[in-house]
Amino acid sequence: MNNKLVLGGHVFQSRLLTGTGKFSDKNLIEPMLDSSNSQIITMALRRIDFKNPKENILNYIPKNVTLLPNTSGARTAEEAIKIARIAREAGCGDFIKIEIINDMKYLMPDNQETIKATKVLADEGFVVLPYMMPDLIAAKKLEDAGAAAVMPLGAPIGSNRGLETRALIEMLNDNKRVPIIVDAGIGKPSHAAEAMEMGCDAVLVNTAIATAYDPVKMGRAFSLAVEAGREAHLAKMAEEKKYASASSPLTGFLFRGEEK
Amino acid sequence: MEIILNGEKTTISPKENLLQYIKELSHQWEISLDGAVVLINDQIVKKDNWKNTLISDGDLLEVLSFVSGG
Repeated sequence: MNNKLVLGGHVFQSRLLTGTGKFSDKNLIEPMLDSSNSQIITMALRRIDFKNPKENILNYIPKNVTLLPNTSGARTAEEAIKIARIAREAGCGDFIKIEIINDMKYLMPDNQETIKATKVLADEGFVVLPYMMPDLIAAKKLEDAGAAAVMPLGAPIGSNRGLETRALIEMLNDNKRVPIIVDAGIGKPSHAAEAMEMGCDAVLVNTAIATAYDPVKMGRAFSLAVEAGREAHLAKMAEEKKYASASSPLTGFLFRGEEK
Repeated sequence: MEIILNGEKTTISPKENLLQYIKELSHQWEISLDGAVVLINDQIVKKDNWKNTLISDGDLLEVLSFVSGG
């Protein structure tokens, strides 16, 4: 079985995608990429606020890492498409994470608009990774629209609550034609391992790594968890049982009299 | 002349070209704009073309940058 992650014809050894958001010190991004073996990292595009400028994040990302600009800030397909085109023209490559949000309380993605943007951008040759609310019908439409992967949320962005949408993601896994990457909500390595065990193809983790006390160490912890979960999935897990099933023989016990 | 810079009406003196204006902005705000992404009226202007590009009255100028994000 092919154990590599393939996105739009590009092959990746690592199944852990990371993000550049929320690091207290951007100089930690490079060692985090080293420790986590992550080969894909997200970033955003914003207007420069001249009074309060932020540093250009691209200066902190090594050249061998695949850039995954997101369309955060987009409220409609049209805005997401514009951002994607700008990112590509600015030299960020063909990868784009579509993120279209118009609900500011839960930050839930707008699946309808996401499908529209996916179609247009996939037709323009982008490797489209759409962030979505796990819904089987929407996932099928994203695949039809040309998505290179489907990225369902596990829980609201930055909530660290894990796979609250597990049952819905299972449906996506059972019917997928492209990789399933759990994006958002993964708060600890055990969540990532769980996603991989259940057959997801990769996870995207930002907050849980960036806001850990030691992001570099946490990067490695996630890397190990993703690998463990993937291996467990490939090994096919033993089934759950209601009652005990002894692991040692139930005959030939010591110190007992003759059974009658 | 008047332009819209990142959504705000801004009055600027006539410039030789876009490169000159970007340099002025960089100097005025003490920031590096080497990695900036510039759009005029929704069209991206590649860095190599900054010196060949003119700014006209009423132009919509967007000066963007890649920032951290998930």
